[in-house]
Amino acid sequence: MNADTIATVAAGSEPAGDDIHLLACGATPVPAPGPDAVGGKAHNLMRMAALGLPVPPAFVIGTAWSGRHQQLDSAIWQGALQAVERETGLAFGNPRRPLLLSVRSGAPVSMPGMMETLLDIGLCDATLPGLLRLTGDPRLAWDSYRRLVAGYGETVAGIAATVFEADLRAVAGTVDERDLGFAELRELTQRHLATFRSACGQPFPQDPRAQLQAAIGAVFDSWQAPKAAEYRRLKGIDDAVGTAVTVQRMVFGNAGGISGAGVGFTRDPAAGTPQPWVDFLFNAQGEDVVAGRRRASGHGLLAASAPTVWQQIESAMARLEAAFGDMQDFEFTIERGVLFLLQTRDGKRTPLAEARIALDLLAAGIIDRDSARARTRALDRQALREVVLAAGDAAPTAALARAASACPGIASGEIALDAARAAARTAQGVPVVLVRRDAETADIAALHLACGLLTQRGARTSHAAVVARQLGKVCLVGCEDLQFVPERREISIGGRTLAEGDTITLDGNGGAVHAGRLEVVERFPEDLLARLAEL
Amino acid sequence: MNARERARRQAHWRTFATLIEGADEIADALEEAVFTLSLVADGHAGGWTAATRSALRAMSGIAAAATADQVRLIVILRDLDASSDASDHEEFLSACWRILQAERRTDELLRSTQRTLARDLRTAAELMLANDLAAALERATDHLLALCYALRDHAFERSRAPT
Repeated sequence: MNADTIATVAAGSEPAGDDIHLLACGATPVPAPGPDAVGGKAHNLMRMAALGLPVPPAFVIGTAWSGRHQQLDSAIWQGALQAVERETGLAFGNPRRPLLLSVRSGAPVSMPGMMETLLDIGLCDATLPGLLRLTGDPRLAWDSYRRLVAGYGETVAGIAATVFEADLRAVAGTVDERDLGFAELRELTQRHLATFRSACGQPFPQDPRAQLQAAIGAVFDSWQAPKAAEYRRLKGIDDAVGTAVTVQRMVFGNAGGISGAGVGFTRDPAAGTPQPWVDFLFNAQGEDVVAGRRRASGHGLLAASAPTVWQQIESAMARLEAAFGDMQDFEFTIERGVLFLLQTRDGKRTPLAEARIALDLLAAGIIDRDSARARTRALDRQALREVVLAAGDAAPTAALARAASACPGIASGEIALDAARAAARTAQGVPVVLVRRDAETADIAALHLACGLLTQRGARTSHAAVVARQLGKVCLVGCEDLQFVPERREISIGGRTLAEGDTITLDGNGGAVHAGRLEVVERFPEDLLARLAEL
Repeated sequence: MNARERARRQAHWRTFATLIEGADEIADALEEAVFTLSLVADGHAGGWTAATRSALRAMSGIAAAATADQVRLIVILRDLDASSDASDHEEFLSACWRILQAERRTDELLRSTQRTLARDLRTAAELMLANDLAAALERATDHLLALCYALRDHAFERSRAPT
């Protein structure tokens, strides 16, 4: 089945009235609503459901509500929620078999990480025992509850993330949060609930319907968030387009054993080579990978620990590419060995990858020659130029530290530790490298000014790394040897202290950080250029 | 520990002292299994065959599922009385039944696993680790069943009591 036929049958999607659409609920073959109506994320989820890929049931509140969501009474989506309840055999707010929901944004145009997502909506003191009955897993239940309180506190109530991180540090110390037991997570939840009350002046809402209504409003509101507005400005996206909201059954990557969350590209988005590029974290939820606050690298451990699931992912990748006709950027969760796909979209990539992927997809018969020509029309010799370190400087021993490369190339510039410094120095014509603890999309304005991004945490597939790649910025993430000394505005890399304003060089080809400005040379992918010339 | 001591001092809490002691036995067996697994993770079981790993994985899966059922029993029991919804009683008894089946299945698997170990493993360390792990898992399901019976009896008492 090709992309065109999927778009016209879209089994598993049906309108529920009032611009509310069901997703993966039943199998009525009706035309799928377009991305303009339901957003690109929901549209692609509907196409995945039609392909028979495992997508959790959901309903979608269309983009038409984006500018007037204050008028969106719960009665309007009540019928759709009941359809999801019927499909799952669970009930929202039920103390015995509670349905928990994720609430996600989704504009017609891809805006990675620029809007908000809320997870575990529906969990409260009354439904927590029900989650325990469903799963028999106290760790999962308390981990989900503390995530909800922190996520809701940040996104809906506007409480700073650092406040909840302080709670986490108080309970966990230096222990990785994934290693906390249920008693510690229960204590952390109680702290979060107290923090919420003290920061807001009112308790965390215990009514699941109130949670859901507020979460839907907050996700719609995130269309107007500064980082989203800045992204639209940079990408020339019309402010009037608006976002849809997808309300979907939760699946739990934090359920222990063979559970976890991953983000992947069906091909290498930097070089374009046909190897999967997947980051996976065991015992984690999707936000842990894409939010840029955790390190994650590779899929080796997943493939070794759960070969059957990895084969399912490989099979899904092939089907997605064949159906969508392009390299895909997809998100997935594994809950106790069962795979669920939560998103797919055409992957952001470098010009070099654009050329190689188009040619390889043509060779594989996935796209036709005209499509390959259209995708590569703007790619000339200069566009495919690669900048690499001169031979002497590229020796691994010369590097201060190593990090995961999210975007290739070489970037040399002064260290800038925040957006204000980046703006001030670039205004004086000085190139800067933005050095941050987390790979976060809130830094988009500074990232636009900088020539490169280096982060202590985050993964190649974090939203900020995706955006950096799209902006053509050299990007290294998850640098374990990077430490910050904020009171002196200094950093330590591989044991060497550097001050803000010192010059460093990022090698995005080899994944290395160097002191000073290094010599670079240009090279051109002659084989690829020859294939392009024959197109 | 404090909860156990408090329960011992008061007659009407003695049932809970028994339940807590039963839970301790389960935890001890599972901790032993985890310790053995940590030795495996340290690379002391490089010679385990695929059949050995498969047999131990099956036992681990059953023990983990039975442990989750034990949690379900406790959660349901918290609110179970004569006025409870019939579905609560049904769910409670279903979980009891699954724990009983788990105990029987791990008994069978322990014997077949030991046959596999004797046939496939050649070094004392590999044999010891595999056998210790299998025995700990089997012991855990024994204790899970014992606690399950105690919880069931307690549930019957509560269901009979006037509300």
